Amino acid sequence: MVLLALLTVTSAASEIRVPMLHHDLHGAALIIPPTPHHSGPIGPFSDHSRGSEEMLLGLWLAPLAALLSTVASGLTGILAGYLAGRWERAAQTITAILLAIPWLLLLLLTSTVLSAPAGFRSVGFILIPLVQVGFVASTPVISNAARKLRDSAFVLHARASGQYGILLFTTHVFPYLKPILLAQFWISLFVFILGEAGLVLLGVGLGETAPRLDVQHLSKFLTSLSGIWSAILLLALLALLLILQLLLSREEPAVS
Amino acid sequence: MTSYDSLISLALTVSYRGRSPVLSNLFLQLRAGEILGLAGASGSGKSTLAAALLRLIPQTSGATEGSIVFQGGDLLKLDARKLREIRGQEIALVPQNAMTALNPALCIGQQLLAAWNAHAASSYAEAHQRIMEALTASGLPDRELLRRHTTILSPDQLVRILIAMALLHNPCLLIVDDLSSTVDGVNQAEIFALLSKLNRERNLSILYLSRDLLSLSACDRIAILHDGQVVECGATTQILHHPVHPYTRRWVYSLPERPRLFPESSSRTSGSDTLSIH
Repeated sequence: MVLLALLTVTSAASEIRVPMLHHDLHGAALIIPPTPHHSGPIGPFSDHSRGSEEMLLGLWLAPLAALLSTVASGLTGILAGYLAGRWERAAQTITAILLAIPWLLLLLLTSTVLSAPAGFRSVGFILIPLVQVGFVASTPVISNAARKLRDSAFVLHARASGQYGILLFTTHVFPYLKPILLAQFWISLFVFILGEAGLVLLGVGLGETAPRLDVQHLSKFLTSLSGIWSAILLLALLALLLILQLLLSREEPAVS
Repeated sequence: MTSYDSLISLALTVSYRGRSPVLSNLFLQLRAGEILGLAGASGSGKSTLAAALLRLIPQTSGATEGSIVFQGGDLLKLDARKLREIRGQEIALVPQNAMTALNPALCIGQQLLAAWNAHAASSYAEAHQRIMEALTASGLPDRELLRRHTTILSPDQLVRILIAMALLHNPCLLIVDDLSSTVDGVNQAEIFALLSKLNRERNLSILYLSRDLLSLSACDRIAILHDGQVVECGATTQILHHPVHPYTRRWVYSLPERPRLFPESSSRTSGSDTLSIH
């Protein structure tokens, strides 16, 4: 409530400080000459505009955030669930604290009171809330799965037969956690793409000068290739992803 | 009985956090080369005892106090490394529920190999040979089993695979936890016959836990577990035909028919076995 009140007051103050009427803004926008548009294989793009196709500003950022949050939540969740005790209590405390911090409001406040971040600072501005969202959502799921595996009858029996440490973990525990980690990654990826677009709408997206591989750039790159080569490239990318998935879910060779 | 005869001696109290002790001052002694049956009702603490013997009760949820003297050393005082050497190599466990005790995601061969690799650094060929020997000893000589997963095997086969896994490193003590919940009467009798054979051929000591008193009639001795304690322990004939403790008497007299001893049991139990009541 305090943060909401602060946000409202700050917004009102900015209106007083910059007394510009809405129709002035709208009128000013009208006199800007339209930017040239080109058609690409995955939609139109413009040279200079910040049109709707730029909602997906940093295509490299969402996978990075998904990877970071999956690795962080995977390590924390596995440690918490598998080792239990103080590790589990520490993970629960960290998750509760991160969940309690209103990151979106803090970002909006920061960008309102200060100025919208630019360059690499804007990367951090996006990464922090995205990784935090992925972390707090995934950690309890992974921790719970690791705890159930640790207490499972077959892990207990494996320990009774003398297996321990990395051998026990890689043989009996990790194969079950791998699909969960992969699912968390893919879910996070799509959520983060949408989340990033939402942050752009709120004015805290990736800065103009930050490195980006966005729809615009991808579209430009594919346009530079001839039709057949762009199709081959897309198919190769699809095949690579499929092979990667198949390799990740592959079973170990059996004793025969 | 001399201390030399004793393979393992327990004086145990096991409790889970926030609950009264499951096992309270439990005293039990297992002699080298014998089959000791421990009979107890469901929830009496048989599986807890099996886990406590291998120190598998997590310190975060429970506490094990007392002593477990095995081959002259106290297992409760061993460090983690020495304890891991004993698990599976000196003391092996056949868990209660064979359907869940094996990893359903791995084929049988992988699981046997993992159990072998826990204590041996040998070539693949030697590992394969030892695994096949153990499977043959447990009555499953079919090598095709190694490729199969647990979900398509019968409970009887799963129990035999667990026995094979337990035999891999030639332990001196085998703990068998209540097979009556997994396999039916006929298969249970066959598995017990297999365990008796292993006991004779390998001088393997067996602690056989069961809720079914009749299934223990071929053991050398029987101990009765009640209220977290061994209330009576003695030769099989004495326990089944002349019970002394009121709980044992109630149990024996509630059986549908008075148990008949297996032929081999009578020869086992004759001699110097003494009856003890706690």
